[in-house]
Amino acid sequence: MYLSETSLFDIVVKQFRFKLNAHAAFFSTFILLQIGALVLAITGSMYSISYDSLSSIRIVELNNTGNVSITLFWAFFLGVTLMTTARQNEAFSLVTTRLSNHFANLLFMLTASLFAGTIAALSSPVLKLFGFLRYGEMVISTPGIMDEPGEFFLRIITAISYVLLFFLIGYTISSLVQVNKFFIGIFIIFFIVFTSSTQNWNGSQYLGHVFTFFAFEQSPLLFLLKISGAVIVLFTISAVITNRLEVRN
Amino acid sequence: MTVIKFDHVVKSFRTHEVLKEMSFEIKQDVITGIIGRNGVGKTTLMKMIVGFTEETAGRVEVFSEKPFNSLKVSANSIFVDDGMKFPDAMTLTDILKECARFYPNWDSELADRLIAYFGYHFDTRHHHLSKGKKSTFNAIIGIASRSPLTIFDEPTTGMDSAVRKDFYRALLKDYLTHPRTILLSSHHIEEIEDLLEDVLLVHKGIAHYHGSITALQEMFVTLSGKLETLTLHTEGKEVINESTTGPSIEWTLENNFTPAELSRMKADNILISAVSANDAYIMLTDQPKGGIDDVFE
Repeated sequence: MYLSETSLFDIVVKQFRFKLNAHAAFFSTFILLQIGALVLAITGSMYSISYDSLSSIRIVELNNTGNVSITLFWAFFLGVTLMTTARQNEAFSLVTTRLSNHFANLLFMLTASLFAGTIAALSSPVLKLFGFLRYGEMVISTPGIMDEPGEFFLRIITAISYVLLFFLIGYTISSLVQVNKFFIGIFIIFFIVFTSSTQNWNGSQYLGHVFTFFAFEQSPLLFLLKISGAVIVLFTISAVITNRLEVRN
Repeated sequence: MTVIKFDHVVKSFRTHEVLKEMSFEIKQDVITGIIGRNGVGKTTLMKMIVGFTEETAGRVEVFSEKPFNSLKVSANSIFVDDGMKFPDAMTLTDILKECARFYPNWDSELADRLIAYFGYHFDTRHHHLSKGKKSTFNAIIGIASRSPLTIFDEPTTGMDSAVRKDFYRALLKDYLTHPRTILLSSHHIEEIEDLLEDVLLVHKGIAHYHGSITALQEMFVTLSGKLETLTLHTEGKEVINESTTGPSIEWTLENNFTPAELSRMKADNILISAVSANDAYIMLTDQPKGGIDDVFE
C-alpha cells in the first residue's frame, strides 16, 4: 500500500473545517446571546431630572456594553474549550499533529473573531436605530478608541482584535492547565490577588495598566501591532508548552 | 520493508517504568497481534507507534520517521480504541464525511455498507451509541480508512460475540483484498489466532516473544500417558502444567526434546500433542508466585 504525502497546510485546512462543523452550535448560541443582550439594551436605563413642577428632563441611556461583554466572555470560554482534553481527543481521532492542531485552532479563532467581532460592533448602529425609532432624536455619543466617530471599519476591526485577544487568553490559560493542573490554583490566586484591594494593596490597578496599554492607544496602527504582538506571543506560548503533550489518554 | 522499528525503547511514567527494553521490527503488510497481560504496556506501545506518546529513551521509527509529531505517520496511520471520540454535534454521516476528507484511501461504499449491515441510523450521534455500537462504529472507521498502518487496541470491547465474529471476518476479507500493516490487541487470543500471522508478546516490559503463532505453539508440548513412563522420559525437565483425565496424566513442558526422544516416547505409548496458542501464551507469561489459589492459602 502506497504512503500518502500530505502537507501541513492541507491538514490544517481539513482540521479547521472539521472544527467549524464541530462547533457550529457555539455560533448559533452566540447569535441568540446577542439578540438577548440587544433586547435588554433597547429597554435602556431611564431617569428623569425635574427642574420645577412644570419642566423636567427625561434621560434615556442606551449602550451595547452587554453585547460587547458577552462577546468577550464567549470568546474567552470558547478559547478555553478548544484546548480541553475532549477537544484534543476529537482532533486526534483524525489526522493531525500537535502543531497542525494549533494552527487549525488559530484559524478557527480568527474566523470566530471576525464573525463575533463584526456582530458585536454592529450591535451599536442597530441599537442606535432602535433608539431613534423608539425615542425619536437622541444624542449619540461614542467615546474611546473603540468608537472613533465615523470610522466604521476601524470600530469593527477594533472589536475583532479584542475578541481575538480574549480567545487567545482563554486558549493559553487552557494550554497551561493541560500541561499541569497546578495552573488552575495559580490562576485562581492571580484572579484573587489582582481583583482585590486592601489598604496597602490595590490589585486592580495592575489589570488597569494592561487595559490602558491596549485601550488608550491613540494610533490605530500601534493598537493593531500591540494586539497582534500579544496574540502571537500567547499563541507561541501555547504551541511550545503543549508540543510534548500526550494525547488520547 | 520494515514499517515499525523499536530499538531499546524505554517508556516510564514518573518513576514507574512500563517498557524497559523494547526491541522489535514489524514488516509491511503483516497482521500482528499484540498480546500480554493487563497493564504490561500494550496500549502505551501502540500509542507510541502512532505518535500520541513519546518514548523516554531509545528509538522508535515508523515509516522511517520518529512518529511523535510526525505528520507523515499521522496521515498514514489510524488508531482505533474506545477512546476514539467525535464531536457531540456530529451525526454518523457527518463523521463519515470527515473521514473521507482525511483519509485518502477511504472507501465510502464499504463504510456505508458496513454501517447499514450493523444496523445504524445515519443521523444518530456518536455519543448516543451504546458501548458495543460505539466500538463497532470505530472499528468500521478503522477498516474503511484503509490506512497503511491500522491499529486496533481492544477493538471488540462491548461487542457481542456475533458482532465480534463479523468484525474479524470483515477485517480479514478487506485485508486480503487490500493488504496493509495491521496491529491488533486483544485479551481473547483464541478469537484472533486464525487471523494473525505474527504475535508480539509483551511481558515484563520487553518483547518476550515475537514470531509466528505456530512457532509460539511449538514452544510447548503436552504429553499424556502413565505416570511412570512420563517420569522416565522427562527426567530433569520442569513440568509447567499438569492435569489428570481418567487413568492418564497430562503434562505440559517446554518443547526442547530431540526427534529421537520424541519417537522413543511415542514407542512407549505417550501421546504427544500441541498446545493451543492461548495456553502457550499463558505459560509464557505465568507469574512465578503461583496461581490465584495461593492467595487464599
